[in-house]
Amino acid sequence: MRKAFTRIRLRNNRYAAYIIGFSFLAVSIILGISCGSLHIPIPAVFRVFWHQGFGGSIGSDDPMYTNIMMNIRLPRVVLAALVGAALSIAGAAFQGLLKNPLADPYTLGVSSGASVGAVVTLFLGLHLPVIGGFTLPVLSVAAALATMAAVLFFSRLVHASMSVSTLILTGVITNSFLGAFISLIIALTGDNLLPIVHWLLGSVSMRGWSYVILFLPFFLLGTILLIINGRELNVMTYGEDKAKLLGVSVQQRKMMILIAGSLLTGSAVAVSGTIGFVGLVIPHITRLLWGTDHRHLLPLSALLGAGFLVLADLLSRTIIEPIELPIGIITSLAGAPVFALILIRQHRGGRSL
Amino acid sequence: MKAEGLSGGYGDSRLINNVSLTVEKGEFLGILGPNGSGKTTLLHLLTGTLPAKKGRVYLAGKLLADYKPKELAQIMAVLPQKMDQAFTFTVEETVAFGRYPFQTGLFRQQTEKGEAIVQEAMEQTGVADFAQKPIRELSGGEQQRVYLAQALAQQPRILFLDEPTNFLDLAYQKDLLDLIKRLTRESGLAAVSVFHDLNTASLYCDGLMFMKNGTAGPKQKPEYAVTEQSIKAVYDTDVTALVHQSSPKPMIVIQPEKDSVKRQSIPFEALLQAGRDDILLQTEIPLRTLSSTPIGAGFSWSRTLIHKRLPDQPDPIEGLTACLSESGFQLQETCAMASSERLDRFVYRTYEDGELSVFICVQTGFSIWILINGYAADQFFIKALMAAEAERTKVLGDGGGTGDILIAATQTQQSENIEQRLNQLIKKGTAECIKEAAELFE
Repeated sequence: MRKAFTRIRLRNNRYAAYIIGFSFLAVSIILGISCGSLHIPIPAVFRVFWHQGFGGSIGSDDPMYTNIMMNIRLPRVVLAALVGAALSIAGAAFQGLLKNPLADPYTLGVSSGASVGAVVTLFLGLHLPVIGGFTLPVLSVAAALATMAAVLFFSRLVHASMSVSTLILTGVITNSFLGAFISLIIALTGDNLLPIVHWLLGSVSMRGWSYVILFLPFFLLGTILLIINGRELNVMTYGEDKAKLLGVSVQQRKMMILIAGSLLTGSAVAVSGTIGFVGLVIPHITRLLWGTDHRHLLPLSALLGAGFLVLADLLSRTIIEPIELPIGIITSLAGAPVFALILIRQHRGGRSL
Repeated sequence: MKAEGLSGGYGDSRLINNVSLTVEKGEFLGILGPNGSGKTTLLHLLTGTLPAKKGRVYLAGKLLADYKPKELAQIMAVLPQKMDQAFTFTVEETVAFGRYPFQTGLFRQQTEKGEAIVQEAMEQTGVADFAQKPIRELSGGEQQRVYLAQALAQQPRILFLDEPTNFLDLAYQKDLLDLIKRLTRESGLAAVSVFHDLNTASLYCDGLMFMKNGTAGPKQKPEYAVTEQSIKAVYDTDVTALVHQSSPKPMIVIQPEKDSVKRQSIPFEALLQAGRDDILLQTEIPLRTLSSTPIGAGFSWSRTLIHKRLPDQPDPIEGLTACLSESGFQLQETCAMASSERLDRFVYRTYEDGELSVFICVQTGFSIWILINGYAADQFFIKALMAAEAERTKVLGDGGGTGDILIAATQTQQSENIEQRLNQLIKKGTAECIKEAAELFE
């Protein structure tokens, strides 16, 4: 009787978690659309949606609202949401896989790879034929994938079974190597520093729908791959040996998770620059709220991460109007204290995450 | 399960050398050995966690390496010494991971049957009560039981355990091992466990195997495997073998280093206090005693020997117990006898032969105390008891003396070959004292 009751309560709790997650995202998106240099009243936001989605009457609202919403605000908000979701879900997966609560999408050096790709493109002013404006994100994703391949190859060279500790070490080495490379380019850049710095600090502004479309396939592929590995991630938090004894095909699953996470991270960095702390903090908060079960942790982290980044973007462009701050500043300002808190709690051995 | 010529180790080292063993259905095998002898490494080789450099392992007739991880997890479960966990799950979630190898399909929902098995495993290990608690909030022993429940949820045919009782207190050690033993008996589970504690292993296992420096001895029944010599050979230390009161399995205890101060012999004569209603002798160091007295019967250690005058009681042991507790004696350290007659008449004398001395006291009812300053082995106590009884009968005739006999020794180590001399002293002394007492009592 009591057991049945707790089970039902847990299940309800889970539904509640998803409802809260979705509502948070929805509210963030509506706020993100509504607020800005030109305030769009919330009812107008709904009316525009109604008009665009179902061809209903737009009423007496200024068509300017529609224009701003559909061409400026909405793509920006959607891109922020997708990037936030991608970084959070990748963070949650990496933390589980690497058994390290302090891991995040940047641990393996993939994002540094993407950054190098982007910085080189900006530095050399590359403009590839055919893809044109997409030169930056495309090269950046390519650099991310190449970095991931290099990291995997190198850690396999160190240890045939690609143990988790080797992976983390390899990631650290790659990160510092590529970081030095980026610094070198910045040092060589001279006067025209602003685009590189701005890109490095991350932003989702003025990207338009094309970036969303560029990002979407990577996002879907990565997310689906990770979510179907939720159960394996659960078991892998015990370490590879135990996971294998519980029947997980460890090498295969690890590869799958690494590739999916890197796809998400690399492509997110490619379209929006390096946005720190989202992938670290959001999974932790989700875990605190609703537990570690990765089957739910992954989607819930994605929802919270999406909402969080939309809000962070909103802050970054409204806090000192009309200047637009890089979104990475906001996330880091919010994220660093949380990170410190997590660190302290972990080492105090108190209530754990 | 069968392993043939298994060798392997971490990196380039070869910690295990040419180990072969078989485990049958329903068998509980214990692997023992000193630290660093390769017990855990052997377990890693047997479970395939560490690939073997040489040799092969067969499970249910199939080569271990040929199993897919999922298939393997359906017939084999492992309870490691310690699980480290970066994140915390609830107890129920943790146990449910044991069902992972049985779940198929993309979304792999837990079936009704699977949930029932998880519940049963939690109840068997007594963790069902905190099913919804995060596992980090549990004590080490409780966590260990949760992981056992996880292993049981796999419904394995063979279970590997690495020092399963490490973090458990006595009651849970017993519960856990009883449970595993029951499973081996009832459902034919084969269990292979590394043990630290010889005695636990000896009590529960059907077979024991000793490891030393990466090689394994033969698999033997505990009765044959656990002997003073074999333990000394494997562990290089001094031990004493004991006999379990209610099980034929041998027990081993370590032998603490004796303090080197030479003990003075005890002046029993001077310590004897005789009152009207009791004869009392108390010593500072405990004496090893063998007696037929109501309290402290059989072999024990005592610091108080007492003969008490008590009116006839319906239950002599209870009456004596009550009387002694009232006077503040520690019953665990007391050898006590009672009689209803006056106690102020008794004969005592000390016999000496070199450094040996035996104090003999004959009391009412021809009860005999024989107190030895020296070391006596168990068999010597019995001999002394028989000798005393024989001398008493010789002097008094059949049925002449019915009083209890008490033999005590200080157990201070002395020179070799004292038995003969002691025996002589006891025979002579008992005969003389009994004769004298017989004259005195008349």
